[in-house]
Amino acid sequence: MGPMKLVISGPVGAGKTTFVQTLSETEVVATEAEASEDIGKKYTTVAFDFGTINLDGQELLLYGTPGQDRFDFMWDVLCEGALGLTLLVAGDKPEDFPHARNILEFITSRNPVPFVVGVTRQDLPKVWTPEDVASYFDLPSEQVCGLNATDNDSSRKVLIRLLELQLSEQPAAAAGA
Amino acid sequence: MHVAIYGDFADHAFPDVAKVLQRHTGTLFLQSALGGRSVELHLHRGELRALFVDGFPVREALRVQDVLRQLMNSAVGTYEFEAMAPHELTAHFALPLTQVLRSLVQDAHIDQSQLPHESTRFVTVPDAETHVPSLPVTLQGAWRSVAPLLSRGGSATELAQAAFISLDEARLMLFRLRAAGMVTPYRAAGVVNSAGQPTPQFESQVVAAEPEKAGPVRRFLNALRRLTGGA
Repeated sequence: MGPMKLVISGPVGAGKTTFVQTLSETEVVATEAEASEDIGKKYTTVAFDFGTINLDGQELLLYGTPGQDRFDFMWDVLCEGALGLTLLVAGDKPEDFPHARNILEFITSRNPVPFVVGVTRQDLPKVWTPEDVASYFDLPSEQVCGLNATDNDSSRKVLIRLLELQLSEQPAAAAGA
Repeated sequence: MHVAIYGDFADHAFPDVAKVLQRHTGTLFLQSALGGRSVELHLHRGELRALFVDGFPVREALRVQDVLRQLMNSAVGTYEFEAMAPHELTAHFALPLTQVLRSLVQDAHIDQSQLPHESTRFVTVPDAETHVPSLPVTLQGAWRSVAPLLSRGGSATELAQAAFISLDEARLMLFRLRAAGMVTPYRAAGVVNSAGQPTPQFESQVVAAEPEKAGPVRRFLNALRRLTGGA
């Protein structure tokens, strides 16, 4: 079997590039440019971030999509055939929740990919919890996780959750087919 | 228990905030939500127990409804929720907030940025028909005309064409129907929503399982678990 593909999406500044860099075993190809407007940081992703993980002889390709709406054409293309989708949202930026929700619903209503939502910045004192973000997104709490995108273990646990969802859906789909 | 629920009504519609607070007990503080006046809502797991405007209690049912209507229509400014124990709340009444807001949802003003993408598909929830009598009359009429389309799943683009309304009107209608608990986003992979209801899947949308992926995925998962110490 060829390499598997994971798509990481979410609003600007949610931690997508950091998440890919933390997980990737190879140097991440990060296609960035200087931001033309104030987004709270100097650089932003303008194509996609690419990284790889290789475990037990199986390769997983990581694609981090840009967060701006003008790149929505890319989400469909990248999600086709993907193993799953991880949507990241910063827990201390509730102003981004509507956009993140719209991204998630756009992608998942068109692509049958398993997904999890990762809520970053959980180390901050004033941050939305994953459970409350789940309520806002109309999702079961099991599908929304807290995440420290700079931490290996934390990032891997989000990936574990996604793969568990992937495997739990396969028997159901097979039974219904 | 750590609870941090805060934001601005420029970004979050009041129905969405109320939905998040369904499982919490405490006070929602709105600094200047009504033309500069502050509002406090004392909430206990989906029930409105007391309401204060500029520190003065609002007890009469019609007045309470009027304040809620104003919040749905024109809440502005920041909000912050403070978790409390039930005995710390003021209790003047016990109104089921979701039910009350459903009857007011037609008046909700929603910023464009919060409306769903025109191509995002929505589908009716299994028990939608039981909520119809509590909808505003105008929304009941809209529901009857779009329910057949949404029972199969439909986007704002499809709704606009079928109902001969503008795309913006269709997006707003979907937002209101969602806020009223009538529709939920369609998930092509098929998951349950936060209310525990499975979102319907349709034969034509279901992608057949790929059993040949299960082995490599499981192997990868096991390797990841070993890396994280089996957590």
